[in-house]
Amino acid sequence: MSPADLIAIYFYFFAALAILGALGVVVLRNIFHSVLSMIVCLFAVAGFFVLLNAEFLAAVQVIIYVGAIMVLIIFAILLSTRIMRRDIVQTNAYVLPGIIVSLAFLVTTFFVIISTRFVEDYHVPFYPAWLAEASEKLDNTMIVGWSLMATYSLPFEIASILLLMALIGGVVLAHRKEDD
Amino acid sequence: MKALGAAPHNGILDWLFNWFYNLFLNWNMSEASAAAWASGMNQLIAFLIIVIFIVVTVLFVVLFERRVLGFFQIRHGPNRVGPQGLFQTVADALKLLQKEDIMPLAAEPITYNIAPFAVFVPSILAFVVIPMGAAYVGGSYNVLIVRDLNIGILYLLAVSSVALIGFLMAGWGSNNKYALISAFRNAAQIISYEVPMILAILGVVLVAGSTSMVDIVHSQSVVWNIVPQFVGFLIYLICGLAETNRCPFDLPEAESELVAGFHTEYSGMKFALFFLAEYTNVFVISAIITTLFLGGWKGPMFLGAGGLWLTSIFWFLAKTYIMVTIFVWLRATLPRFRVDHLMGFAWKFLVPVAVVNILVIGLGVAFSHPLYMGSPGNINERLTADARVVALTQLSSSSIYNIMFDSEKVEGPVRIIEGNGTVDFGWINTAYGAMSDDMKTFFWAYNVFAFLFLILILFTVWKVIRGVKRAPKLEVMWSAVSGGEADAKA
Amino acid sequence: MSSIEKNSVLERRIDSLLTDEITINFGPQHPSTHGVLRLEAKASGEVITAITPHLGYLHRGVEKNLESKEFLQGIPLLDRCDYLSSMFNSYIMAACVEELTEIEVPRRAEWIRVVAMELNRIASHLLWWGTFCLDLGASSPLLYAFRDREDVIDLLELISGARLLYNYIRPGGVRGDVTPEFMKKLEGFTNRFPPYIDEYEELVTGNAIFIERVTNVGVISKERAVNWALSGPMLRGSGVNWDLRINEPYSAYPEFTFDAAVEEGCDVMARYRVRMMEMRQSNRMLKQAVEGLPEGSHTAKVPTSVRCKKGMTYRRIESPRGELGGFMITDQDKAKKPWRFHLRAPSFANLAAIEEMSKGYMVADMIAILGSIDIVLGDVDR
Repeated sequence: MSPADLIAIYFYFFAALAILGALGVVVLRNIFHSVLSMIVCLFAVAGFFVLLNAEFLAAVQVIIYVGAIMVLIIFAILLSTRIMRRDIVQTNAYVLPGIIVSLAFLVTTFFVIISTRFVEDYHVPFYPAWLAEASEKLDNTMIVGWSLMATYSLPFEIASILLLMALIGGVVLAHRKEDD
Repeated sequence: MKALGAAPHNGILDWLFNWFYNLFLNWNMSEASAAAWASGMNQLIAFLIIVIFIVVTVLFVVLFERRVLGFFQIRHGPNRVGPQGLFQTVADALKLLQKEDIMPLAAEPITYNIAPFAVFVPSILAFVVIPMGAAYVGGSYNVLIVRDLNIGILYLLAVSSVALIGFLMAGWGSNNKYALISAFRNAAQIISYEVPMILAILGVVLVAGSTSMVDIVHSQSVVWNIVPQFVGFLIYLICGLAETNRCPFDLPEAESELVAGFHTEYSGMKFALFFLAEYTNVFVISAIITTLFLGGWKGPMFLGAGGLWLTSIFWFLAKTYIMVTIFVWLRATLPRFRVDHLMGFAWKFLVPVAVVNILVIGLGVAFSHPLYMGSPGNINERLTADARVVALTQLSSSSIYNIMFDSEKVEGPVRIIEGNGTVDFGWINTAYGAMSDDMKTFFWAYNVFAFLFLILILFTVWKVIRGVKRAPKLEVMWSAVSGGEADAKA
Repeated sequence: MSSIEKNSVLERRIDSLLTDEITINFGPQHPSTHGVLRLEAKASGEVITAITPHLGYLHRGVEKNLESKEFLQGIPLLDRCDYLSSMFNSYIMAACVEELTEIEVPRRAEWIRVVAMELNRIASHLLWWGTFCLDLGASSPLLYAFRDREDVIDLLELISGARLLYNYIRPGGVRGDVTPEFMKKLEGFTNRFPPYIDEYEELVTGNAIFIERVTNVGVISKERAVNWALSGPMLRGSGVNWDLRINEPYSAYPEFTFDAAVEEGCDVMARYRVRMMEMRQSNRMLKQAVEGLPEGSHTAKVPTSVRCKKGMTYRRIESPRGELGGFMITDQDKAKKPWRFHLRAPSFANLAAIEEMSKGYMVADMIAILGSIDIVLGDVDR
């Protein structure tokens, strides 16, 4: 067994976990269980990131998706439904549209995958030459930092402004006027 | 490699490695496999040491809090079991182990039973990246740490956010309103206080230039972070209190309102897991404060900077227990916050102060103020002056558009996957070829033990789920338990 | 802030949260209901919209029982109503009987009664202080309060032989005379106690979190407080200067100089301050008693079996919880037993206002408000 096989085993483990989690989101009848299996799925994705030497992304995946977004989803579920009731049955009214949309998504993903050029050099994919040099001496977090703050600073700032707009928009929407 | 398991270059682990190596050679193993197994045994022993350390620490922290609290409250605290009550927690734990494992009829079995583990395991996992001591051997530091992850502090944040899911599971799974409200409070509190907490951590990371816990300690060899970043220290201390549900932020466990909070319905060892997780978190947060702001294993300058195993471990433990004492002190002194005050305090006070704190530290770093320099020879070792110059010239000479979209800059062989769906991990073979023999044995030993550990965890989870006997579902009892008319209909 | 203004703010707070109401049940077994009270609270989010107290878990039929007991036998039973201030319960029975028998109580006996009652008031308020802080999440005050309550109870044990249910005050005077040893210890206590209260104020009253938790919480205006028939610290905390020891003097109180503790805040903080001040005033009275305890007999001549004439009487006194009233009817001359004895329990009347005080506040505030009422379930249910 070569090391690559071993890593492949890890990969398939995470892949199985991700698929099982994703299936659980759709198949489980209790919406809280669906959320929990979605968390499993997101964890598996964090595992992929670790396998790809992107441990920074893995940590961020867990912090943001598991720690914040999923918790907010649980909040929304528990606050919007009758909280102490167990029979939170998920609706089945949209089976056909669901199948069509997911099939379309599957086909699209398939074509995207087969038409993508994958870089074989694992360490410095898509980095400019200077960053590739620097990356010999940098760890993953630093590479992300340099990319965001130096190379891609403009898109990074634009994304920040977008998030800020969303934030302010959220505050404005949630805020009720005094005289209401 | 700074891992504890990879320490076979000095001290007792080196001796152990040699001992095992010779033992396995005597068992007619080949040299390579003997080295691999010896390394594995070293890993196992390091793992055991850490586990024993955690258990002893947690048991001691519980007693420590009770005795110190007793001191503050003009009483003795537990002092009967063993000398000075040292075995009180052991006795309590043994008692809890024998208790019947009660599950409420209306509880959700899977969620209810997994929740204690989902809370307890992350608090143990946090020990992975905490540097507990160091020895200066052969021109470099050998750090007593399970694994010096380069995302160290981010890993801690990630781990603590996982425990939150466990709290929500406990709150929802118990089918108890106190537990549910408590879980809500807990989640809202932790999410709110994570924001100023991360901002306070950012100040430290700015100075250290790294998220690795070991690098952060090294960056404080001139002056501890508590001096230039006292505001950040206070913010982190407050957020740490909130994160561990300690007084005055113990709203989720507010006994006068919510009885016992999310663990109201738990009994026996499952309750003990919640209990131990809380105290583990107290120790972990104290250890993180020690690492981030109090110079970690380093002693005060005039007493030596912690160049020996024993002194460094002593300093680490001393500082950590001072922090634990402060936690207990606050608990003995302060009343509890109210929910809206809690939120207002986080968002209206802590966050702005933390932002200003970042601003000040950022200015200090930008203008190379001596207090905000970190220690020399740390970040510079990794990021050589050459790389900086290259990066800066590149940034100034080319437009961002070119850097972003010019595909000619992509290096290395490029190929197209033909769509047969194989996943290729050829790169790892290349990387493996480049490893030293030492690294190879470590690689294998690590993976073998990781698999064994994984199987152990899965087995435990399986046993837990299998072990649950579902009580017969009686409609009458159901409506009696759940109370409200809406529930009775269901 | 006027109460109308306050109410509109609160209503807005209820409106702004559009969540489902949930019913939360507090008690009868709950750490902060101070006994076996059951509160059925409806909460929208964490904001209380309605509270229904369910009583009777500690109902022992004391009033009915009294009808079959002689007056002297009734006193130990009455002690068990408000078990934290049983001196006052004893006094109410003694006062009713004295009125219907026209026994003259010696001056020394009245002074000793005041000493006993004020000591008991301090003990009761100390216990309240500890548990109230516990309700707010501070654990140490309870232990500190018990340290000093121990002092008081030792004193009461010296004069009555009991530590909680004294059976000390009885028709005609008190059961036993005070000893010089007791007076010496009492003097020591009165000197020790004021620094202790200063310590409490330093530990708790000035704390920023504490002030945030209790100011403008559980507001009940002067008019509403009177309309709800609140009494004691609840009433004086709403700015009504009404202390039965001053307004309707009984026992030896006219001979003592002390002030009624009145606060204008109408909130939990005001009630807290009133009780803290009352402890200081009680201590002041004890000091006067140490200096000027008159000589004489500790009890009038009373037959073993007290017999009342036919009639009815209502006597009321200022217990630590408020107006404690005893309404006694005897149906014949030379009555050995009361025909009817009704106790006007201050905890019961004060508890009735909890819904009005807690509406629009959060669950945690409701606990603080309940703590500020200072109920004793034995007194509420009897």
